[in-house]
Amino acid sequence: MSSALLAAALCEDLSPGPLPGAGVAVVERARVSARARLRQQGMLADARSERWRYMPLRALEAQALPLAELPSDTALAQVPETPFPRLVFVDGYYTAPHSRIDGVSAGIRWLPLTEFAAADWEACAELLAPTAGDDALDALNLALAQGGFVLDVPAGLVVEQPLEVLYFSGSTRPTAWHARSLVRLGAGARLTLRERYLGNGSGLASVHTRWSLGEGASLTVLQQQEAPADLKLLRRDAFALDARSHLLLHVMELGAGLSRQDLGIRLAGAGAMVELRQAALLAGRQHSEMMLDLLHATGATRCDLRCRAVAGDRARAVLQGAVTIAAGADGSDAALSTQNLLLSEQAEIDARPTMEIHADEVRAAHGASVGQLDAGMLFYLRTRGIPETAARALLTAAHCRALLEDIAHPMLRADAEAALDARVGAMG
Amino acid sequence: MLTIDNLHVRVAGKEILKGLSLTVNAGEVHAIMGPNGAGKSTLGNVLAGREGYEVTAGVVTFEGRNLLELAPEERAAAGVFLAFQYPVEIPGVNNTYFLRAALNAQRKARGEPELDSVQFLKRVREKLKVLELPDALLQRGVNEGFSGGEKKRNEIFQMALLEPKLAILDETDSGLDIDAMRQVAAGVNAQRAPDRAFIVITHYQRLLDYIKPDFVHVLAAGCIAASGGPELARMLETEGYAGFPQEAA
Repeated sequence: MSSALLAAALCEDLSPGPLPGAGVAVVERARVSARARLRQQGMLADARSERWRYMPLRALEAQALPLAELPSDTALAQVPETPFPRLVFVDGYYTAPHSRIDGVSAGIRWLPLTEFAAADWEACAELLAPTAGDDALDALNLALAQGGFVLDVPAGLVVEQPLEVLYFSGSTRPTAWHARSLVRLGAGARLTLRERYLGNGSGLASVHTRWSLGEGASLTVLQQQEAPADLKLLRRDAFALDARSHLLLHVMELGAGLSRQDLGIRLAGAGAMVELRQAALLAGRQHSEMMLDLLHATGATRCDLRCRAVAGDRARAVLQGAVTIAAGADGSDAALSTQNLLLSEQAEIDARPTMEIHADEVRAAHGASVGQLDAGMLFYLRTRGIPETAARALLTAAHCRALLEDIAHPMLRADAEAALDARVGAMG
Repeated sequence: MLTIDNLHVRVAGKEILKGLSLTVNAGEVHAIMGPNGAGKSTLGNVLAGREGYEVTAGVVTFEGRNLLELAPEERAAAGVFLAFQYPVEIPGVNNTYFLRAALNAQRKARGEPELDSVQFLKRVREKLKVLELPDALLQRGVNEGFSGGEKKRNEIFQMALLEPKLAILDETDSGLDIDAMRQVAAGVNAQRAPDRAFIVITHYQRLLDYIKPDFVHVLAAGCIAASGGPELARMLETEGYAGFPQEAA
C-alpha cells in the first residue's frame, strides 16, 4: 500500500463531514467493501504492469494527503462564472451557490450525490459497483468520493443548451478529493456536456465517471482540463454505447503537473460510433497520459480516434492502450492516428497504441508520427513579417486547433480555442 | 533600392550562386530567366532569408541596410516580399488571423499603428476583388485545400495587402493556366508603382507578355550571363537557353 493512499483511506474518519450516502445501507456496504479492497490490494498500482509503465508512481506516493476540507470562502470566491447550467464542485464538494440547475430542460434528472435520497442510490447501482479493472484506484474513489452527480436524460429528449460540470481545485494546502458520477442518455436523447478542471490548489484528485448511451443517443463531451500545476489528476471514464448511438469526445489536456485518463469505450450495439479528439499541450515537467481501452464488441461499429500531443521543456505525453475488435464484430471500422510534436530535446512522447483484431471482415487503419515544427511553414510565416516566437506559437496551436473544428457550439469552440492559445502563450 | 554585389551562395555544400551582381531601382521590373538549375529560386530564397543558404561572399544592400544580417521577419518589415513557387499549406492557422498578424507585425516593427479589425477587413476586401478570390477563402487555413492557381493568386493577394517595396515572384506562373496567369498578372500590374520594384523569376517568356519588364536578365551557372530589355526574353523564347551554361555547378 502506498503511503499516500493508506493515509487518505484512513483519514476518512477525520473528514470534515459525512460522505454522501452516509446512513444509507447500500452505500455504507459499498464503501466498507471498497476500503477492504483498497487494503487488500495493498498498492496503488502495480509498477510492473504495462498499464502503469510510464507513470511516475513515486510522485503519487510522495505525500500523505488528508481529505480536502470544506472549501474556504477564498476558494469559493475564485470560481469563475459561465453562462451554462452547471454543477460546481470545489475540492470535490458540491457548492450549490455556484451551481445552476434550474431551467435545464424539463425531464432531466441532474442531482449531486449530496442531494440523493435513499431511493436515488437504489436507482443508481452502477455508481456503487467497481469499474472495469476493479483496482485500488477505483476502490479509493468509491470509498472516499465526496463529490459527483447523476445525470439522466430521458429517451427522446434533445437538450439544446450545453451543460457544464466544473471541478475547481482551491485548497491552499495539499489535499485529496474524489468524485464519482453517472451519466445516462435514454434512446434517441441528445446532449452536449462540458467538463472543466480549473483552480489553483494542490494535491491529488480522482474523478470517475460512467457514461451510457441508449439506442440512437448522441452525446458530445468536451473535457477541458486546465487544472493547476500542483494537482495530480487521475480520471477514469467508462463509456458504453448502444446501437446507432454516437459519441464525440473532445479531450484537452492543458494543465495539471501529472494527469492520467483511463478511457474505456465499449461499442456494444451495431451502428455505434465514437469520435475522439484528444489534444495535449505540455511544458515544464508536466506528465500526461491516456490509457485507452476501446472494444468493438459487435459488428458494424465505428471508431475514429485522433490524438495530438505537443511536449516542450521536459514534459512527457503518453498514449497507450488498445483498440480491440472482438471475434464476430465483422464490418467494424477502426481508425486511430496520433500525431505529435516535440519542442525540445528533453521532452518525451510515448505513442504506443495497438490494435487487436479478432474478426475477419474489418477495416482498421492506424498511424503514428512524432516530429518537430515544420521548417517550411515557419519560414513562410516569417517571410510575412511574423516574428519567430510568434510563428512558433501559431504553428504549435495550429497543430491542435484542427482537432477543435468539429465542436459545433460556437461559444464552446471559442472557449476551447482561447484556452489553447492561452496555453501556447504560457508555454513561451 | 537593391544592390547585389558578387553574391556567392552554397546550398548543402554545393555552390549555386557564383558571383551574381544586380541592381534594382525603385519602380523597375526585372525579369530573371534561366534554365533549370541555374540558381533562380536560390536567389529568391537567399534574399528572403531562408535557412540553409550559406552566403560565402558578396554583399546585398537593401535601402542602405545590409539585408543579409536581417532575420526573415525583419526583411519583411523592411519591405521585402517573396511570392513562393510552392506556397505551403498551414492547416489550423486561419487565413484572416494570419494576414492580420502579419500585417500588424510589420506595422509594429516599423513603428506604425496596428490596424483594427474594421480597417483590416476593409483593406482585405479591396484587395480580394482585384485577384477575384472568394471571401470564403479567408475562413480557411492558410493555403489549405487551395488549388494550385488559388495558391498563386493568394500569394499575390498577400503581396497586395502587405504592400512591400520589393516583391520577388518566384516562378509565380508555374502550374497556371492562361486565365489564372492573367489574373495573377493583373494583380501584379495593379501594384506597380514608382516606389515599388519587382523581381520576376520565370522560366518562360509568356508571363512577360502580361507583366512587362523593364530589364531581362539571364541567370545561368550561378551568374547573370546576359542582360537586356524585353527583346532578350523574346529571343530566348525562340532560341532557348542553349547558348548559355546549363548548370550552376
